[in-house]
Amino acid sequence: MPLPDQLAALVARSRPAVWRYLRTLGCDAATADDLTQDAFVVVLERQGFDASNVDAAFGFLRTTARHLWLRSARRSLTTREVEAADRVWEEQCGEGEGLERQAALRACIDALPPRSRDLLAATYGDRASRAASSRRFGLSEDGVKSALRRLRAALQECIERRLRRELR
Amino acid sequence: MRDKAEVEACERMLDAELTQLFADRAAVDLAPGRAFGWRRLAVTAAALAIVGALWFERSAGPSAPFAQEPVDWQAALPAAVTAASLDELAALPADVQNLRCALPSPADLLRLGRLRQLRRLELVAEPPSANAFFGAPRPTEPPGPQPWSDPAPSDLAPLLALPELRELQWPRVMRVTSLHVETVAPSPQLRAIVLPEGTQLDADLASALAKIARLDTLRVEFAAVPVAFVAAIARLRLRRLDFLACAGIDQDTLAPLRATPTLTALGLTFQLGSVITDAAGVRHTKGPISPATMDAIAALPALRDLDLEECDLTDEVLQRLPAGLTRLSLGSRHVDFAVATALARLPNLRALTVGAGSDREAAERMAKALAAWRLQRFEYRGIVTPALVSAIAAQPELTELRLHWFARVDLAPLAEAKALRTLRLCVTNTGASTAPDREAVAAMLGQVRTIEIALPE
Repeated sequence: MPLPDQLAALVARSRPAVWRYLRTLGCDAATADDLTQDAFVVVLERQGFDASNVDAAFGFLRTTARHLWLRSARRSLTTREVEAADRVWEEQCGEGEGLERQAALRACIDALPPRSRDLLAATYGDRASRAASSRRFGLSEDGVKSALRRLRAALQECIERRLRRELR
Repeated sequence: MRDKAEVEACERMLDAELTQLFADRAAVDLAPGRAFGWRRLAVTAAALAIVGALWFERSAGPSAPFAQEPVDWQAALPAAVTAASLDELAALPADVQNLRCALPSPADLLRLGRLRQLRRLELVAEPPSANAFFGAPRPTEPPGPQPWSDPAPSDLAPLLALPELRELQWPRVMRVTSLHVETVAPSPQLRAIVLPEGTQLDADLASALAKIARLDTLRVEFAAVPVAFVAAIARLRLRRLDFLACAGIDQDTLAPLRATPTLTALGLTFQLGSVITDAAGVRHTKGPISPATMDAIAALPALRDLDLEECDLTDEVLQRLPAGLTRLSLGSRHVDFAVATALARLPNLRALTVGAGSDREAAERMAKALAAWRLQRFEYRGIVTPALVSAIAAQPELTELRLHWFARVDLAPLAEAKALRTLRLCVTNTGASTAPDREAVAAMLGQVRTIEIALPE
């Protein structure tokens, strides 16, 4: 069983990444919550687990989380789709937790016009419905949907551009 | 060039990242850099189930609660099939997975051997009652000795021939001993057990339970629970523990469970301050839950799911509900000011059962409170007002809704609850004359796949 201090550090550091990974694999938010916690339970129960090696620990958590999802009755995606999503994680984050990608995302968001940032904040922060956003931003509901779709596409492109630049 | 599955995965990844960056409430404990208690977060496990709905008789009538969040294998279970006689049992197809079965004696267990896919088995000594609203009440069994009272452990051996068996409920008349548990312990998939009223809760029983390799769910019914027994089962890796109508549950009894890092779900029901008398004539008090007991509950490191159905809870106790709960049942509890303020302290709720009576002010209070959560399941047992219907309709992730029907109310706004898939209406006596027609509700709410309307008897 890992030492409490090491485990505390591992949880604090890796939990958000495990959750993001599970969401990438197709879990809804609640299932990702549950399976993230399940993955840490597996770590807790594992004799001799070395939580001090952060990369190896995350690799173990990632594998565990994937297996939990593949075994889950709540899984709505095929095994092939889950494997495709795992490949995407690998491609975007390598063996790690995707911290570089997150940093790139923050930079991309900072570069957005204020109104676009506000729309993202309303959607993801305030969890405003499309109807509420349409009233707030003076758009039709379809307009909100289109704006968000364009924003997400632009952010994805921006992130990948920044990551490529860093790799050079 | 990415294929469709990869493109969708990219979109989900970005969505997750944006959620963590922006979310201020629902993802409050997911955002990087927040402070967590390592214990609570490291050990909280998946959503787990009560072993089933509360099957025992309910004097409250058609107000059986939701089953708690099921573990995966339970989620995948089909509805229970009932065999009220040996003839009915013989007529069942061999691929039955979920069975409620009346067997006159333990010798009849041999008849189950052909059901190789059986996952959940509820045994009763007498034919089940035909009464059912949202889950049949547990059938009654005659008092006094009978074949099921003290079966020889070897009589239970046929259960080992069921390779997929995960949950086992013995007849309520059975006096379960450690020898009975040891007999079924080698069952390869067994993970949930119900200990009925006559079970001797002692160290031997705890040792026998420890031999069930996958045991993670335990329910104890109608017993006086010794601290020593709880201390012994605290060493098991239980994920869900239910004490149904048990006496002796207090802060001392619950304290050992702090050492069970996997325990995410706890059920304490019928803690009303009443007295039960055990077989030896000793009187025990069932509740009520004191502030100190609630503090002991809040100290359980991984707890997220709390069932307090039919409990007498003071305002002081309500204010001490664990803030990290994601699932809570307060049963038929009127939403007064104290309840509303207590619930407001639980920002992460995803499933809630509460409400009672025909006080419209309580419904308005509930309507206001709903805005703070993104519920997935909601049961409200009080009168429903238009404002409450609108507030429910604004819940974007709500998939399962149960309402009590006291008076006519327009359900059309629920069409806005796009994720809603299951709607159950429990019609009260006062609402019987205005009960809606199922077909009309179905036509109004096209997104809902399952609609049940239970009329009063």
